[in-house]
Amino acid sequence: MTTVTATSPSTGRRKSSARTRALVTRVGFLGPFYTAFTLFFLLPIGFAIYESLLSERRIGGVFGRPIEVFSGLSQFGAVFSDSQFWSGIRNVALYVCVLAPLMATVGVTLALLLDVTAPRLARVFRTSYFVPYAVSQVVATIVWGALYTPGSSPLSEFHININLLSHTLVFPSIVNIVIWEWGGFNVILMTTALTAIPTEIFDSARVDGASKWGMAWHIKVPLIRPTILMSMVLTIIGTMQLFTEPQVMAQISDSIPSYYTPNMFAYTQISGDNYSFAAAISVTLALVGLIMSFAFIRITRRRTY
Amino acid sequence: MPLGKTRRRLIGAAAVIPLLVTTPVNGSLQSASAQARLRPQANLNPCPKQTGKVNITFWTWEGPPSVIQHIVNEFNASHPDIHVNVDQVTPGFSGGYEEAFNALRAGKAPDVDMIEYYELPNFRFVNGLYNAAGCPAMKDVAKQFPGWVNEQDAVGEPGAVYAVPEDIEPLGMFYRKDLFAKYNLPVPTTWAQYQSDALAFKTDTNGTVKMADMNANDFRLLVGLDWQAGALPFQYTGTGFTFDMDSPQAQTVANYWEGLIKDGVIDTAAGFTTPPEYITWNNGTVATQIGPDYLTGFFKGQAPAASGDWAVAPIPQWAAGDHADGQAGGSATAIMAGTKHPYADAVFADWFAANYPVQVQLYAGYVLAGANSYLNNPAVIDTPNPYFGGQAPMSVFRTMANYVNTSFQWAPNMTAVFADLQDNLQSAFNGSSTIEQAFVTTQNQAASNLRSLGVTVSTK
Repeated sequence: MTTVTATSPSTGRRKSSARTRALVTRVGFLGPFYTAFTLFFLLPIGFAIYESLLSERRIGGVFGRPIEVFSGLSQFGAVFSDSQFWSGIRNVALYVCVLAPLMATVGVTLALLLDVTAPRLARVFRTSYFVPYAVSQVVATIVWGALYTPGSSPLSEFHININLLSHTLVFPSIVNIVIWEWGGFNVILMTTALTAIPTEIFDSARVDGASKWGMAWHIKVPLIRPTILMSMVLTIIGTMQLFTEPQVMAQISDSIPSYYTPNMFAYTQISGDNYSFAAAISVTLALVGLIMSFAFIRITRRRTY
Repeated sequence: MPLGKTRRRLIGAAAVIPLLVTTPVNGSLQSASAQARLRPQANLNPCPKQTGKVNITFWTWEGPPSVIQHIVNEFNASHPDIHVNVDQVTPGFSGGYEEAFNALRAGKAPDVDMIEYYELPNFRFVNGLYNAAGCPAMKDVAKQFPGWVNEQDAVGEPGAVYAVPEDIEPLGMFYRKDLFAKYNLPVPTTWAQYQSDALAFKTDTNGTVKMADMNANDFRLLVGLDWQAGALPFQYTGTGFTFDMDSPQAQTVANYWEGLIKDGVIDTAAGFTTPPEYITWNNGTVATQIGPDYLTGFFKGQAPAASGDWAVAPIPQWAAGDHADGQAGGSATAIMAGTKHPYADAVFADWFAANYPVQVQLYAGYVLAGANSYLNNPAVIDTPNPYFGGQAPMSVFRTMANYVNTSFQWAPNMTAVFADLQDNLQSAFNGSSTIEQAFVTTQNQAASNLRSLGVTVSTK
């Protein structure tokens, strides 16, 4: 305050108007982001947490007046003791165990092959691998679903009668759809990492007499390891949120219960107007996702640098 | 698996899921929508005639959309004070109800909404329906429909009118005339005969012709079969509620179909109104399909290759000479809580019930409407349907409608009940459980769900 009074009035005004301008700039640039962030990120999360702490009571019989009362963490207790929730967690865990390594393998293998293919041909392949990524998940699942359906499946042309939507085969069927959808994306990730490797390394390897196989296995793969790990993290987080494919497949398959994944379980509970319980499921899943993401980022950091 | 937007996905674990549960943004109990939910339902709501012209919104998935729009245009032309806007929505059972529940929470529900009978109690349970019994248009509504249809619309409250019936869906038996003739088998009139026919088909065709399709997707049909057998799985008892899903009648139904599956006469790869089922309807690998009248439209649309091969008969009976039936489906035009124009809603719902059946019949001819004026109009109902080889399927269903057990009611949490039942039937159909066990497990899960929503529940 004393410094302000010490300076001449004109410089003070100039300074404060500069400060105002800086503030306007800052608000102008950051405002839209924080508005959207608050409206579509913080508020929904806050509302979900709030809703998860309530439970419903009823005054005046079955069709009486519903009232929402604060019930602490009781909804979370219900989530943790619900066998359907754990069944969903088990299913996603299984998908993670299969998809994370498989997706990375598909990505690395195809990217390595593209790397030694003639550039023009490689471009064609790269684009065709990437095309499924542009197809909507719902559409992809409907089309694959039709291919799986006994009777309309091309397999039935050859009189092979296996039900790919059955209890035992629905898991690999969904894995296949997910790989088809996201494999191309992972190929692009790996290809980008491969092109970033300095060519001198390959020159010296060639001088040392390394075969193409040796270069792929001993140079390329170790050098793109951070990308491989990142791809696996992305797959893990994405798989935990598995929803669209099984939800759409459930329309035609007799083997996908409404609680097949935790996201489907939450959706089913909302459908039954059980918002508080669904909110508790969502918050639990968000926490698990958060913890897992941090854990994996930690592990990958330690391993790669 | 949203592997797409990398950034969104890293934060997505936290962000995407809560978004699913937060469609209504107003979060406090004091909000307008919460107050609407808390409003006690008076016995007879006031229903003053509105002054001036009003707009009301009608949500429906009744089709074809052009036909419905045509009917509503007629209403708008003949009612200068009321304008109805039609919104074609997702069918209730595939997401439309969720939309309506959310809209109710957000205070943005339509004025009138197409709701199936089984779901009406669930809407009343969330205080989502408006009792329009006090509206002039509803004064004679009870006389316009068969008694049991009115019961369904009153949702367990004598004298209440929460909705006006559209179609009714008594069960019948679709059967392949050509197959029964080819193998010289009688069209079954009892369930015992149905089973012996099934075994005969198996022997005669070396197992290539199954008697029916059935799997977990048939959950609504199985409850309809319970209804036919006289089961009352959902009962209102004083201020509480009782589940009785494992009654002797329900056990009879469960064990009967369990037996047919064990006999190898059921195609369990094809479920109710799914693409695999349409294939079997077309290619002659199933001989019968138990189902309600709206399937007539499904057959015509989904099994064109079998045109002229299918016919309709009454549903087989548990005792020879008996007449009993249940329903699977059927919708009503419900007046929704929060509407500002109950008078206009009632006028429209009543007009629609009386006028849509004839129109739908003329244009498409695929549902049996509940209105007496339609049921007693042989000129419309007995019109031969070329798809069914000149038979008039609706006249069979109209007869069956007289035999529907009138005491049957639905639970206030049918969304949850049906979701649980479908899940549990999956275990039954993959052999790790039984149909009866599916009913028992569903009963326990549904009871605990309803308890968690503050209702006193007992199970039998």
